Amino acid sequence: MSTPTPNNQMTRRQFLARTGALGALGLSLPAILAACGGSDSSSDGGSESLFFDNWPLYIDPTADGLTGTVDRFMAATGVSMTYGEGYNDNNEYFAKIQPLLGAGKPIEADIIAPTFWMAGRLINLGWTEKLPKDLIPNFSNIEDVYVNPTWDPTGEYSMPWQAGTAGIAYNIDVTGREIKSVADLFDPEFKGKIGMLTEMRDTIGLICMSLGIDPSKITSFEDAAPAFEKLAQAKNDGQIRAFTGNDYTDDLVSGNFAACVGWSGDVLQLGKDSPNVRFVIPEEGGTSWCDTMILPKGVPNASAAAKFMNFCYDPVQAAQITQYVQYLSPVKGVRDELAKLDPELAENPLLFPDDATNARLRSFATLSEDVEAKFDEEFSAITGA
Amino acid sequence: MTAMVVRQNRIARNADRVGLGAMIVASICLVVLGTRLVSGPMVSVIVLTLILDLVGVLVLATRGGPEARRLLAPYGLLKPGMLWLALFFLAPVWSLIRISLSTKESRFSVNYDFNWAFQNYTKAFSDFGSQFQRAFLYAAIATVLTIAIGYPLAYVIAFRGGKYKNILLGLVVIPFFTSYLIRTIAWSTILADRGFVVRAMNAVGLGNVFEWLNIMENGKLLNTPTAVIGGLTYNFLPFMLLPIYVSLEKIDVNLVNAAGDLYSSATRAFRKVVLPLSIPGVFAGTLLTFIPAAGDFVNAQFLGNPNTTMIGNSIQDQFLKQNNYPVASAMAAVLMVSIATLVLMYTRIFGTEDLA
Amino acid sequence: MGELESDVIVLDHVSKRYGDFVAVHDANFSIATGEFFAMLGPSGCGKTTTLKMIAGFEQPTAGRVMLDGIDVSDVPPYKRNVNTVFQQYALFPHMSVFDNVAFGPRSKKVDESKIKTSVMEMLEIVRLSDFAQRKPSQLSGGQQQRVALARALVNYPSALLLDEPLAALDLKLREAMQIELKRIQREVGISFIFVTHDQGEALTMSDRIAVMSQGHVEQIGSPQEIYRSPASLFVAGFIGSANLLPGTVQSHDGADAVVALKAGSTIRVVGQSSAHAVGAHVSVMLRPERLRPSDQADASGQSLHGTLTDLVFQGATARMIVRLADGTELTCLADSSARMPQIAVGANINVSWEADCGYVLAGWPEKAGSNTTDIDHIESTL
Repeated sequence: MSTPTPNNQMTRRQFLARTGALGALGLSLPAILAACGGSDSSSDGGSESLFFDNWPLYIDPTADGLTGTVDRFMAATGVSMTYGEGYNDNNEYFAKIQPLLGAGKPIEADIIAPTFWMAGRLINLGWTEKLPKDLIPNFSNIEDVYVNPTWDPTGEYSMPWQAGTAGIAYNIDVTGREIKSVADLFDPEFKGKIGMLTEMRDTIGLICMSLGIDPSKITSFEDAAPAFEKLAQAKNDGQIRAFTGNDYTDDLVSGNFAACVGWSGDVLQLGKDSPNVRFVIPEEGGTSWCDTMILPKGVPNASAAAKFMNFCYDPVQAAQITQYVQYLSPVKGVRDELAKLDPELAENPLLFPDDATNARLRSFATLSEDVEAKFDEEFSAITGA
Repeated sequence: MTAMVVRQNRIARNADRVGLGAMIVASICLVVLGTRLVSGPMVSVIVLTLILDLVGVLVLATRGGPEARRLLAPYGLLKPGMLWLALFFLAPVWSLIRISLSTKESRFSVNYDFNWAFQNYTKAFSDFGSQFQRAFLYAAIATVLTIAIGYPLAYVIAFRGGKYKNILLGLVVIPFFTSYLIRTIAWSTILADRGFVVRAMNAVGLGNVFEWLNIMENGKLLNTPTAVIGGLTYNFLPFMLLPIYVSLEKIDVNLVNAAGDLYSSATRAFRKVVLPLSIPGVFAGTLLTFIPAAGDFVNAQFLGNPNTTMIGNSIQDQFLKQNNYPVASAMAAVLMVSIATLVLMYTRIFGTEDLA
Repeated sequence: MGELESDVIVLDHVSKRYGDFVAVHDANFSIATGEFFAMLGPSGCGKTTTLKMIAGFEQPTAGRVMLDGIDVSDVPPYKRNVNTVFQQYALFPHMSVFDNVAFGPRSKKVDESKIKTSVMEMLEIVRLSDFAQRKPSQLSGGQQQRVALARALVNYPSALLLDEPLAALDLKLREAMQIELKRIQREVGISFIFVTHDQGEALTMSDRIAVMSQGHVEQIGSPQEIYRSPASLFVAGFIGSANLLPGTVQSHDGADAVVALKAGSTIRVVGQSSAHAVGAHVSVMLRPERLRPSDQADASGQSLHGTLTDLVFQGATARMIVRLADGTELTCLADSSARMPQIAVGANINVSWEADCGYVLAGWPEKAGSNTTDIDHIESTL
């Protein structure tokens, strides 16, 4: 947390890869982190307070002469803010808040950062509050693709925090050639050397697009069934080496994976040290995802939360976050602001895809409860767990 | 006054029965509380019963005199263990079985309706049969391998270790001071496709042989059944080695001498004397290895591929990712019962009378 | 003993070294068929090592071990026709008494039906027929001892080796087992070679005894020979109690030797002149039971004068400690029922003996006067 150069940082998802392993042993890491995160709470008598529970390493900290977003926000508004890093895993966090929200009780956090599909689930369950948009004039700065997104069709409940792309990551030392298409993942030449993500929407989404199915328009399991069949066949044939979380990066660099489904931000970082690792948005198109900000039902400090959201949607502020976390910003005008801070980064196509690329990106449709259950079950049957 | 004294004496004389009764009542109270079997005012009643029960025994112990205390002592010593078991074993198992026979109101509901939902068990068997089979198969192979590796090692340390015995044992145990997880992840580095193990085997031409023997697949060792079984074997080796070592170490060298004196060759002396006397160690080691190995998920997760998942992975997935507590509970219950059955059969066949 | 005086075991100048340490030095003796032979000595004297070389658990560094006339020095134990009864019996705890006894014959692949008869026969001899199906842990120490015997004897070995066979038993049982062992040995007619540090045990049971000390065989002979005519001061002190009185040979009087004791008197020892030159330093051994305490002065000249310092009544006998003028202490063992002199502790006393009771040994003892075998003392100093 102390080094200012983003490239040396552990990315959020790399952090996950490591802590996820601990989680597998049953250590309740979110609980531990939540306990740590809450420690710097300081309420100036009478003023508003705010608690944002976010993913680890997902905001610029105050360090090495730079003032972090949280401190800048507190200085600008007088709100006393607590910033936590207790959001580690969508399913785990869901399991944690389910008993309270399910019983109609508020949780401790005012803002949480579920990935879009989880946001969709929470919105569908009615476990979120409407955003007080009159307090968020900067909402107008939202990138067009995130206006009324599939997971929040009326755009009333969520704002994107950061976004990214899923495509194919490959190690050219192992493949010996450039990879362009999802079809390459099913090439017998790479038998047993292919990785897939346990993040169902990215893996199935990419396969769908390669089969000409638009993942943003899926409404039933039948729509995506061919993708599941293709994946199941590949798994039974021994084509797939492993379903991984973010630890795919280790396998990719070491050469255990020839190619795999991966995330743009990671490869951007890996490329610095391992030039043989490359990322491509497949010809058939890639999927995009984003993590959101939502207000859990019964949030006590909605207006302070709105002030923070508004603050982060100021391109000047957002650019500083982007410079640190290196993901796609959902805020218009960030590129111009970033150019002032780091011109090289502002020209990076993985951070700022052109319109043609954007046109090839789809985000996964929000599934109804029953359909999602079916998807999860079928996907789990394939991943073998 | 005298009547009361007589009554007190009678209670004191029967203090052992009172102690037993109090322990059972307290255990039941804890199970009831732990499983949330009751709600509302009944909770207070149960808590009150528990407190009265414990206070009553304490009063009896202080007022009943030395005879009562002597009779109560065994239950006093048993009670912490019993109550611990009641709260952290009996209550969870009860909850587990209850939930395994329940259905959820909806996918994300936290309420379970107990309605004898045996379909959870049907699903556990039908959808996860192969994971069950794999778990038992891998655990069995790993157990046999730990015996094959651990027995000779324990034998050498016990009979030939001399003054280096403790150092050798230390060397066996030291790696296990680091976390289970880190050791397993380290294996994924060792067995990696471009790691030295695979390279060395290919260099000496063993790669093709192993490929033919199905030990390697497509030039890889990592993410194969071999790696999973190897990981299990490695991780559980001390649990096999140490009990065998203890049983071997206890054997009087003169017994081996006596067998030799009675015209037995070294082989026969081993077969007829050393081996039978070390069987209790092998027996204990088998239980300590097989039971946790059958429920293990770490090795399959880090060293396996999608076709080598074991039942532990499935249970974890159902609990933590699918939020499907009923089916996950059913699977856990099936695993528990199958292991218990296997252990019982094993005990019947190989006998435990010499364990004492 | 058999009619042929053939030797079962011959140790032909056998030595055993561990590095610089000499465990056994030039043991050279033989054991006859049917003989009950004891190797006696304090711990570390080499007796157990000698036994192990006979059994085959140790190989001699020099010399030969002959069994039934054949050199077996390099033959492993399981090919030697001798059997051992181990100190702690070494019964196989996982087998029944029957299976323990049948172990040897089964190793030799004897027909199972024959095994049954011979095992039951042997259990009969050791009187354990009713215990055949018990486990060793269900037996008493004496019973375990007899199982160990049966297990060895059922093989009809040329010789039976017993390593401190009675050490693990309590006193009463030990005495009973001494008789039992002797009976069994007579019944089976096999040579028994047993190792013990208990001189009483050796005297009671053996036909012959080899007394060992620091790797050397000091003396071999019948119990009577060893008791009456010890070959060295060590043997004299180790076997029974002895009063050793240092002195110098003053003259020879025919076959008798006249010895001037350091304690003051000059005494005559019958038939001992030939071995000791005039002027030689010698010790006169007087067994405590041969001394006659008296409050009267004795005219025979075979007497010493001192003070009674201790009197212990021991039932049949009374033990007296007499301190001579020069401080030497003598032990007397007197028949307590016979006319005991009414001497109080602290009174003057006269100790006398017959001239043929004394025995002259070369050299002076480390400690003049009473040398009582004190096993615990010997053990602790070694």
